[in-house]
Amino acid sequence: MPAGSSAVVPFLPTVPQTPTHTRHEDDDDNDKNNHNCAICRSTFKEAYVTACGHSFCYECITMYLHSSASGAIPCPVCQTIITDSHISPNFRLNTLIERTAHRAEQYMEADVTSELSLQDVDRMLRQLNKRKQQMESLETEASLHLMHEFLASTRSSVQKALQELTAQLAVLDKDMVKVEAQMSSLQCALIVSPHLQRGRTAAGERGKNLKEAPKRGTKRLLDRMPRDSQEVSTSLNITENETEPQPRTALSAAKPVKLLSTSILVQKRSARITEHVSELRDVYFKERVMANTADNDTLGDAYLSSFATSLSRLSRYSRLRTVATLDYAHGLYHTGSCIVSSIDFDKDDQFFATAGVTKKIKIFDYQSVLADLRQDVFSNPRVRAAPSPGRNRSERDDDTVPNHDSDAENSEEDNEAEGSGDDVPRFPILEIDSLAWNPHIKSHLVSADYEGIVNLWDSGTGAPISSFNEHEKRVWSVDWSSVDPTRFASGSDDAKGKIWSVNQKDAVATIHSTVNLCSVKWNPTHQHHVAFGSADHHIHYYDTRNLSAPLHIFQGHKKAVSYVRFADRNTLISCSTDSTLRMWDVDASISCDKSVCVRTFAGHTNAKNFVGMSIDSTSEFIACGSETDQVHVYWTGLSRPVVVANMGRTRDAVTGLFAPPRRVDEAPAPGGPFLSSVCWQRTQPGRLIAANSNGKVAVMELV
Amino acid sequence: MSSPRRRIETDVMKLLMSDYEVTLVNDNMQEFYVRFHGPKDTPFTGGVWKVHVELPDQYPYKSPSIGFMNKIFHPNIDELSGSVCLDVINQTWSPMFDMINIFEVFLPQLLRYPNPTDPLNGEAAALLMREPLSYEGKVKDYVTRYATKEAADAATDESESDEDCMSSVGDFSDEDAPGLEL
Repeated sequence: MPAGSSAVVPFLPTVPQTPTHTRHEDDDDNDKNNHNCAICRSTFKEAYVTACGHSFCYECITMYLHSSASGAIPCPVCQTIITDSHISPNFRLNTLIERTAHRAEQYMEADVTSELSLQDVDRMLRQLNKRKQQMESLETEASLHLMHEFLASTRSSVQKALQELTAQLAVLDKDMVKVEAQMSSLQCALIVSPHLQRGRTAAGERGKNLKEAPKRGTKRLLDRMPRDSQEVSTSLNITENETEPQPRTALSAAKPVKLLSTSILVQKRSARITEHVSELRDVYFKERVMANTADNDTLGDAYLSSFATSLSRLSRYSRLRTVATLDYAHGLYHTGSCIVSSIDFDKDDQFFATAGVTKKIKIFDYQSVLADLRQDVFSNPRVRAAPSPGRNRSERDDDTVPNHDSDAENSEEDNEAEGSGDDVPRFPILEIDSLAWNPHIKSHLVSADYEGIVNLWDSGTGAPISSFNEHEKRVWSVDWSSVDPTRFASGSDDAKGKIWSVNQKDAVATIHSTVNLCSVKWNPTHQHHVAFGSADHHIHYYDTRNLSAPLHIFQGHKKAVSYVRFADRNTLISCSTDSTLRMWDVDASISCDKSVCVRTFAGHTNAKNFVGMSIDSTSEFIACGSETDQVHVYWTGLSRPVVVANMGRTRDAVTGLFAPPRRVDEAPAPGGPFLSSVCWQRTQPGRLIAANSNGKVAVMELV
Repeated sequence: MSSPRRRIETDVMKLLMSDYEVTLVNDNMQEFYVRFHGPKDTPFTGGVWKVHVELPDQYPYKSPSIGFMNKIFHPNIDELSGSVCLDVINQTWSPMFDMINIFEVFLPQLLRYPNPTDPLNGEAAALLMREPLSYEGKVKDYVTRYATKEAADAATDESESDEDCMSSVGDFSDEDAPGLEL
């Protein structure tokens, strides 16, 4: 069959005659002598034959002839044109089929055995019985064999489990003994100095420092403790004096001490631990067993004490309490969206800056914000000098420079300035994605905007110092090097990362990547290492001395990586829009060239936006935002959040009362506000600032 | 009439029992997907396609409609939707054929001997007529690019694969951007 011939090319190799005829009608759906109609594939019913010699059921062929609209209807088998008048009954075929069917029936019912003698019948009976027994015994043997195998394998796995459990029990016993010994030695130390008991509160190991205060000083003590334990400890102080003497050690003549384990505060903390208990158990057993096999008791001891401190740290906090709130968008004209994209504290936590899509950087005095719960506003581009605490009027807005009013004019002016050949640098202000304070030079602040321009500001005068304009598309993130005070890096949508020096107009180095870089962070101690979080779901980790290829590419996230932060020189934590955070071991990943993800944190919702992520100064707590307008705080050892807080609580301006909070597990309103940025305080642990897409900024404290 | 239903069931059962990988779409057996491999002696060899078959109610009197879910370059197959030219099927359809035939005889014949006089893909027809060698080359190119096992598995529904492409890039244009668009 030549291809491309102008005639209609039939699609069968040959006009099907008997060979294909038998091929089709020879299939397994024919049984014995039955033949099937080619159209309905079942036994012929009132067979009719066509002029070309092919038979079909009467109904099938008539339906076929009438179903085709066109005049020339081909025979289904041989394609010869047939019409109604060309078909006739096939009497022979009908009788044949009838007889075959009849004979099959007869065969089923016939009594074959009536012709045999008694002997034959006996013989056959015996043979049949023997055969029957054989078959049955085979069957039983097979089932017994299977049963035996099943039992054996179950037994061995249960045995193994038992061994593991006994090993775990032994380890637990050993540890319990050690812990009890430590507890009793602690009690001894307490009993020795009676005046210390009065000041003793239920604050656990941490309470050691507080114990020195005499009873009068209890009030001061209470101030220092977290608020929700205050009532508890007053009652505790009262009950202490009334307890029966409980002989705990040889020095039982001394004043009795209340058992730590029954104090209410510790119970609360243990309740918090119970939430995470299964995960903690897994971690404990895994590492403890490893320490055990090392057969070195000191290793086991060290692990035990570190685990104990972890438990204490993990359970210390139950919630984030909002200490102060601000409205970022206050006093600004905005067209509806005032997402705060970035918050950062300065080097001493004296000021913090917020920036967002309303194109302004606002710098606030931290203490004033805490003290007054009102906003202190210094707006960009003319950033005011910090007022003394107490001066917090927003009249300052009045003398803001006119180029706030219309950004279009702003950029035009600057364009003109550029074109005229003046030496005036361009500082157009667009939506800002990220800002960062220099960790060494107090007043330097760098910001990155939607047009790809990175600006360096002096926060003391509010004036811009210089502008770096090499990126072609929007810059998502900037970060200062923690070691070199004049160096910073930026990552952009144009798939390039650039390293800059404050003293140089052009970028010091450029990293060419393939996909948008969403986040950049320098390693806190290693001078030359910088990590870029990228839209290709990986984190590219470079050494600035050799930018041709990354040191390692961390793979594991399922969607784009929106933030990267370092917990310490060897631990990288990344946030991604697959609603997880991941913790990576940097050295292990580089050395074995395979990304080692130590833990994956999940529990918040992040599918689309930048929600903010920050690690606190102790490197133990990670805060990240969520599209449910909540702050999630994770402890680095556990993959579920330990604290979740709503942003929604605001003081009503008139009554001064808090609005009722939304339940933590309530689903967020679709299209509702999402948390867009978080930042922990740099110098002290426990406080963070969070901001959401409505422009609300809240200072929260871990309690 | 029970005869067409019986016939549909028998055909589909037979196809399910055979070596072909079949996935039913709905329970009435009239719509399903079959994994089809390119015939060995054609430029389509090595390709894997997910073929969508829909049996009309008057099957076997009316021919089934056949569509290729992942891309194929062929004069009688529409490049975007993957449907095989209905005329071409109708001209040769006979109630004697069953589903096994379609995949064993009919489709391989169609791929081996396209009909350029009635093209759905004009470019392919023109190329075949004028430069058969470059036609073959283009077919093979399409096979390596679009007729892989993974592409066949992924191509259940065209709209799904579009969404996947958009989500990975759209991450960026959507994030933090409402202000920009206003």
